[in-house]
Amino acid sequence: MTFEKFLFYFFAAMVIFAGLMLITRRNPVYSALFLVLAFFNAAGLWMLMEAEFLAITLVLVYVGAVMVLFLFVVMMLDINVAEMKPGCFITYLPVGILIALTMVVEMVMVVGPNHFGLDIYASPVPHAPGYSNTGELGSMLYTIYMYPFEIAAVILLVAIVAAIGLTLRRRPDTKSQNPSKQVLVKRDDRLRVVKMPSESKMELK
Amino acid sequence: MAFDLNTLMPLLPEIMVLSLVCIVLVVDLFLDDEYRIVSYGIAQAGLILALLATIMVGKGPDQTLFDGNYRIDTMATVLKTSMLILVVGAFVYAKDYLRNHNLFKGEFFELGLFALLGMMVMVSSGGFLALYLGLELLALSLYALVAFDRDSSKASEAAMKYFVLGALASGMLLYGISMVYGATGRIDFGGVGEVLCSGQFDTTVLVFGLVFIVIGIGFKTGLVPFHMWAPDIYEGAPTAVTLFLGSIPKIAAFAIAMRMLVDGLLPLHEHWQGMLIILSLLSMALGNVVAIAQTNIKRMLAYSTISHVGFLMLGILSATQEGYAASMFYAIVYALMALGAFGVLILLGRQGLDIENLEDLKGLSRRSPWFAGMMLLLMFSMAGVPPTVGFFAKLFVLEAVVNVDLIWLAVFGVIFSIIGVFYYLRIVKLMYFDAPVSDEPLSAAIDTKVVLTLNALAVLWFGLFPSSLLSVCSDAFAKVPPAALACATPQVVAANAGVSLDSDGDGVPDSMDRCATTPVGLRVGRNGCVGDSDSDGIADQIDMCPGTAANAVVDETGCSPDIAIVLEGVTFLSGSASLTEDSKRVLDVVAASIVRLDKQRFEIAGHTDTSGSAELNRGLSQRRAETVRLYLIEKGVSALRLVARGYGGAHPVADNSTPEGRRRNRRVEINRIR
Repeated sequence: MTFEKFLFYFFAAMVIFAGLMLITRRNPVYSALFLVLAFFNAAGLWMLMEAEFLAITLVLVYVGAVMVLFLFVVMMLDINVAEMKPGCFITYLPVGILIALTMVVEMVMVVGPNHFGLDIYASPVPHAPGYSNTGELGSMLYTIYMYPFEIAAVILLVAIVAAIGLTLRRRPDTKSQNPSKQVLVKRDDRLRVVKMPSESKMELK
Repeated sequence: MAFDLNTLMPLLPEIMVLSLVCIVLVVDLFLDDEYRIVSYGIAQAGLILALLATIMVGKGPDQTLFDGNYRIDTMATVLKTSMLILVVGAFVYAKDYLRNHNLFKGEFFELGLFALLGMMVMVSSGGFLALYLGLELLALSLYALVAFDRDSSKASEAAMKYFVLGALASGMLLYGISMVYGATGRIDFGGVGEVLCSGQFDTTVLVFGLVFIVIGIGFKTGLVPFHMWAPDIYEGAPTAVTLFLGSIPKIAAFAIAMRMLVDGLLPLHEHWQGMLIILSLLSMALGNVVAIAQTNIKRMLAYSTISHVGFLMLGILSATQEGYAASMFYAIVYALMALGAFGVLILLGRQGLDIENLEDLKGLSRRSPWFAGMMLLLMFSMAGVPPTVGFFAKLFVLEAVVNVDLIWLAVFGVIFSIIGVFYYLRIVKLMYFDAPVSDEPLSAAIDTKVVLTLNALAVLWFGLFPSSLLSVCSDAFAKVPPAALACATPQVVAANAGVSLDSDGDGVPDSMDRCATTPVGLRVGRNGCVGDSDSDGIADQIDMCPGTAANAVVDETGCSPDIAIVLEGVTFLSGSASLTEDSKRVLDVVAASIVRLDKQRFEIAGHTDTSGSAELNRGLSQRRAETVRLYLIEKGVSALRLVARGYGGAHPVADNSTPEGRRRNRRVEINRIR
C-alpha cells in the first residue's frame, strides 16, 4: 500500500467515524465539533486530489466561519441535554439502518468499480510542479463559467436582501439620538410662544 | 470567447430586470412609508420596459451563448414574455393586499423581481449549472417571501417547511446532475445530448442520475409523492405571496422539465417517460380527490395545482412536438387562471382580513355580480368547461397523449378531471345559490378590479380563440425532434416531419435550392440563387421561371410568353386545400416576384389528376387555387391582380395512369392575363 493510498483510507475512515459520532452524540456541542473533524478530513481528501484551493476554502469557510457561528448559536440556545432522551433514536434506528443500508448498496452498485473503475476512467496523472490549481479554477470561473458565476453573485444579493428584510425591525419605542436632527434644530422647533387673553376679573359669588 | 456587445444583447431582459432590482433597492431606501408606492411604480415601469426588450430581443435567431450556459430560442422568449406580463398582474393584486395588511414594503417587489430573474435564467438556461443556479435564485426569493409576514407564526412555519424540503430537493437534483456529469463529462445540455447520441456512455449511471433529476423536478413542481409541502405553504404564506408562487413558477417548472429532459436527456426518453407517467397519474388522482375534502380555499387551490401540474406533465412525457406545445399552452394558461383565482381572494379581502375559507365566498353574486361572474369564468376554466381556455388546455394535452398510443392514460386523465369538476363547481354553487355572510361592498382599488376583469376575460378570449396562443407555442417546438429521432441528423428529422430543410434560411427548401449557401437574409429567387442563373436578362430575385433555356425569348416575368408557369413545390395536404409549410416558403418567393411586376395580372389555376369524381376534383382545385391566391394577397400582392380558377382534371400535362404522371398533373399554375 502506497503512502497516498494509506492517507486516503485514513481520511475516508475518519470522515465516516466523525459522521457517525456526529449523529449519535447527545450534546450538540460535541456534534458540532465532530462535524469540524469531518470537514478537516474531507479537506484532506481534496488535498490528495490536488484540489488545494477547494481544501483550503472548505477549512476557511466551513470550519472557520460556518461552524464557529453554529457553535455560538448552540451555546447561546442553552439546550437542556438531559431532556434530549435517546428514546427517539432507538425507536427509529431499525428503519434508519434499513434505509441507510439500501442507499449504501445502491450507491456501491452504481458508483462502484463497475461503472467508475480505472479501466473506464484512467487514474489522473499528477500535475507538473508549477501547476496552480487556484489559477486554473480562476481562469475557468471567469471565462467559461462567467454567466453562472454572475448568477451566483445575484443569489448572494438575494440572501442579503432576504436576511435584512426578515430581521430588521424598526422599533418605535427605542430611544436614540439623531445628531443631524439635533444640529439642525431651530428655536421654533423647541419653543412655542402662546398668546393668551389676559384673565378677566373673577366674579365672586 | 471574444467579448462583444452583441453577445450581451440577447441577455438584455435579464440585465434590465437585475438593474431594476438594484434601482428599486436603492430608491426604496430613501423613501418614507407614505411614498412606498414609488418603488411599486418603478418596478411596474421597469417590468414593462423589460417586456418590450424581451419581445425585441426575441426576434433574433436561436443562439447558445456564454459557452453553452445561456440559450435563447422561441420557447424562452414566449415563456419570458408571459412571465413578465403575469408578474405585472401579480404586483397589481399584491399591492392591495400588502396595504391592507401593513406589509407594503419595497422588499416584496425586490424579492418578487429576484424570483422573476431566477425564472428567466431557468427558462433560458443552456446547461445544468445555469439552470440549477436560476432555480436556487427563485427558491431563495420564495422562501423569504413566504416568511414575509414575520409576525405570523403560520407563515414562519410554512417558510421553514418550504426551506427544508426545498434544500432536500436541491440536494437530490444536484446529486442527479453530478451523476449525469460523471457519466458524460459534460454539463451543458448540448454537450450531454452529443455524448448521449454518440452512444459512449454508461446507461446505469445515467438512469440512476435521471431518477434523482426527476425526483428533483417532482419536488420543485409539487408532483405526488413529492407534494407534501404545497398545501401547507399555500395556506401559511400571505395570500399575495401564494398568488405569486402558485402561478408564475409553474411556467418555470415546465421550462426546467423541458430543458433538462428534452434539451439534455431526450435520448433517455423511454426511461423518463415511465417515471413521469407514474408521477402525473398519482398527482392527478391525489390532487383532485383530496381537494374535495378541503374547506380552506388556499389548500383547495394547492391540491388543484398538484393535479394541474400532473396534467401538464402528460404533454411533456408524450415527447412529441404537439405534446410540448400543449404542455406549454397548459402552463401559461394555468398560470393565468391561478393568478385570477388568487386575485379574487385578494379582491374580497379587507383591512386586516384574509379570505381563507370557502364560506367566505358565499353569496358573492349578490355582493358583486360582475366579479362573481369573473370567478365563475376562472372556475369553469380550471374545471375545463368548454367556452373557456381550460378546456382547450386539457384537450390539447390529451390529444398529444392519445397520439402516442397512451390512451389508457388519457382516460385516467379525463376521469380525474371530471372528479375535479366537483370542487370547482362547489365554489360556483356557493357564490350563486347561498346567502351571503356579509353585505359589505368590495373595497378593492380600481386598478385591481380592472386587472382582474382583464385576467378573467383573457381566460375567455383564449378559450374562444385558442389558436392565437397555441400557434405561438407550436412555433417554439418546430425544430425539436421527436423522441425517436433524438439523435438523427437534422435532414432525417426534417424528412420525417414532411418538411425539407432550408439550411441557408433563404425561404427556398434545400431540395429545390440550387444555391444552398446563399448568405442569410439575402433576397433570392425561386431557385434560391441571386444573379441571373438562366441568363435571360431577368435577375433571379424577380425571375418567376429561373430555369428557362438560355437565350430563350422571355418577357418581364422572366418566363417565355404563352407557357404557363407551374409552381413546382407548391403542394397541399392530401385531399385538403391546406398548404404545406414548404409550399408557403415557395409562395413567399413567388409573391416577392409578383409584387415587383406591378401591373401584370395573373390567373392562378388549380389542377388535379383524374382519379375520383370530376365534380369533386374541380371543387378541390378551385379551393386550392383560392388558398394560393389568399396566401399571395396576404404576402402583399394586390387582390385585384389575382384571379383563382379550378380546372379539376381537365388539362392534364402528363399521363394519368402512372403515379408519376398523376403527381405532375396535381399542380398549381400561374398564367399571365393580358
